Amino acid sequence: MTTSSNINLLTQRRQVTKRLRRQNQKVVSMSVLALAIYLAIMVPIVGYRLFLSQRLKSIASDKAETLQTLTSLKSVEERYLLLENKLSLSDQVLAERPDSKETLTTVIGLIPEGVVVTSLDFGADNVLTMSGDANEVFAFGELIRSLEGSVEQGLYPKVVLESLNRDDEGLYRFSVELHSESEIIPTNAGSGV
Amino acid sequence: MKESLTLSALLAKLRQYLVPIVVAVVIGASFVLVGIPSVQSSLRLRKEVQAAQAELDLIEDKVASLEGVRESDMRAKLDIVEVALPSEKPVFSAISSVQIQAEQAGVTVTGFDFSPGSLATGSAQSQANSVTQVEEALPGQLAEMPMKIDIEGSYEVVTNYLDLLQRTTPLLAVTGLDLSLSSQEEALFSIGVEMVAYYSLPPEEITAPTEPLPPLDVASPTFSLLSSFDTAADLEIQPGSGQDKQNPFSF
Repeated sequence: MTTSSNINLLTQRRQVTKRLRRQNQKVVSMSVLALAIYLAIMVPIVGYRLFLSQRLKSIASDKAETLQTLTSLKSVEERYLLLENKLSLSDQVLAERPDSKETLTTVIGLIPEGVVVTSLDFGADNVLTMSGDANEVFAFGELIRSLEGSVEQGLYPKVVLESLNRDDEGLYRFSVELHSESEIIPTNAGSGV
Repeated sequence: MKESLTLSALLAKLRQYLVPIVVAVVIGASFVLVGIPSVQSSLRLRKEVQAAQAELDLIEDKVASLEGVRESDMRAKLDIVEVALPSEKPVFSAISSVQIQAEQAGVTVTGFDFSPGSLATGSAQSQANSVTQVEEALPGQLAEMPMKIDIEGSYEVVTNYLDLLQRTTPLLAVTGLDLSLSSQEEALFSIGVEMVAYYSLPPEEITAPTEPLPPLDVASPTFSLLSSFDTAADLEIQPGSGQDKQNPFSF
């Protein structure tokens, strides 16, 4: 009876031990798996970081080499920039400078009998200031009509009579602004012809 | 007896959970000490690499552009624009040009008013119309040197002269005309031509390595236009004898 009971206890104990060992193995396996998963994640991250560090060093080295090449091309760059700068400025001058011959011809064409032009000033923003004398008021009236015609034709979209006065000799001295482009904001100030 | 049993059971239990506890501690510590900094530095490095690569690409593009430049062609074109828009105040070439064109047009030069100011610097001074102007030339920007020439001639001749001034180098622009009739019978006009001669000091510095080169149209029609303009460049200054002038009061 005692022997049988002992055998039963031993068997039971063996079973418990076996179960415990299996349980232990399971826990260890799970731990190892967790560690493996963690390492599987971390190793590429650390590796990627090292790769990036190396890549940055490689780029820095390439950059230093390229900068050296660029320095050796400094004189070419200077000439290139000089050419580009002068070309763009030349284009600007050619596009913006007034055509004095054409302007003179046009203005002379607008001047009626009894009126003489004494000065033409080619100002900025396509504004031409014309000064002159009219020997009588009717001649000045003719000039006004002629300038009004130029506005209607669109030759000078805006004409502003800057000043008009009569001197001791009876000459009517005038100054007129001829705007090639109607860029000026309309205003009641001044006298639009 | 009971106490020792409890202690051994506790130890057994602890042994059972020792591995997962150690693993958890290792993972936790490693994550805090290595994982998070690694991820952060990876993200930072990635941005740095992208920026450095972009910068390198820009520099390489610039080098490639400069290596692709045909130097002889560029020098020839530079000579053309240098005559049209000199890097120094075009004192001699401007005077020569306006006088040569006056001779060509057949106008009579009756006067000249020209105060170029300091020749070594970029400033120009003009006393045209009794108004003193001082203009400071900045590197890489357009600068003007005012001048005034008084001429006389018929209307056709004068307009021809104005036309020639438009087609001469250094580039000139007429800024004003003072007109009067000098001879009613011969229909001669007396005109004071106010103009500016353009020049441009070279840009001071080259661009930053990463700054791309500005586009340059090497086939621009401006080159052929400028090369077709009349120039006073052929009129060279005759070299002196090299000896000091003995009498300063005679030619």
